[in-house]
Amino acid sequence: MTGLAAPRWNFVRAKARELTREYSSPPIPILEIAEQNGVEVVFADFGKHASSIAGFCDFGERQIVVNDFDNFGRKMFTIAHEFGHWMLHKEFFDRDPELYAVLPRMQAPKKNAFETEANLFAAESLVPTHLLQPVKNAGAAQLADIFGVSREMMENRLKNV
Amino acid sequence: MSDDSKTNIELELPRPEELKRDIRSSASEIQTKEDVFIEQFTRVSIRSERQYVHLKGLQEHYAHKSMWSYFIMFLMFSMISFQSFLLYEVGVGAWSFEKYTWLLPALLVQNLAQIVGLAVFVVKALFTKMDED
Repeated sequence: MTGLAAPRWNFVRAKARELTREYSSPPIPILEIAEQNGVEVVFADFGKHASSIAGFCDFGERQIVVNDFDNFGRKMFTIAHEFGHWMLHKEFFDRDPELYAVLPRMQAPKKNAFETEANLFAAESLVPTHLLQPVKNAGAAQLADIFGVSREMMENRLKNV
Repeated sequence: MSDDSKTNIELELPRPEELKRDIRSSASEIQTKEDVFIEQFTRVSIRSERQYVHLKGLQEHYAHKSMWSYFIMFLMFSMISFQSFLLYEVGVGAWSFEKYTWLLPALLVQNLAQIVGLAVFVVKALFTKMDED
């Protein structure tokens, strides 16, 4: 077992829904959910990497480390994305740590099945379908603000709900 | 000719071990930063919950309006159809109201009044100024 040939869309969606279905209104407390699932979330000053890295998951220490200089929405996404790696890919990265890549701030993350799955997990967990469905006709900017996510993520979610 | 590899800058990402070495925050700072995030999350949650409930209510309100609009449209259409049918039947001589000469005008006037009443209701209640919703 090395990498993933293709993203497991349904598996990832089901996993995210399982974790968020009990919540009745946004925003989703992703930090709380991550910590309930055995991974600690810490915010730190990344020093010389502060402007280039959003966060990473330390699988050995069971920690998600988030760049404290980012804004609230970006921090939420970083936690959700790295928590996605923790929930979905831990065993892959434990076997082969070279497969794991930290989350950059500016450039798009590497296009591979792991990153696609982590992004999907972040989108589905921060903007669960059962919470988006009743308000899907509202404007994307307002919804992005309510769900604590970026406008871009909300636009994508609205296309797929 | 432009070189795509130069325009799409892809930085070499550091490994997690390297990042961990460069982290400047102490344990107490990390705890403070987490507290700040939780406090911010609580603040955002309260505001978002209020906005979400309002938005949900507003959409349900419009959904109800839409349902009532269709119902009233159906009602008005039925009444106009009935009126047309009634006039047609009387016109071709199929129906006669000779014994009840008062009935036809009464029916027509009542029906027309109901249609106009419904139209007034639609305009006043269902299509009020949008900024009042």
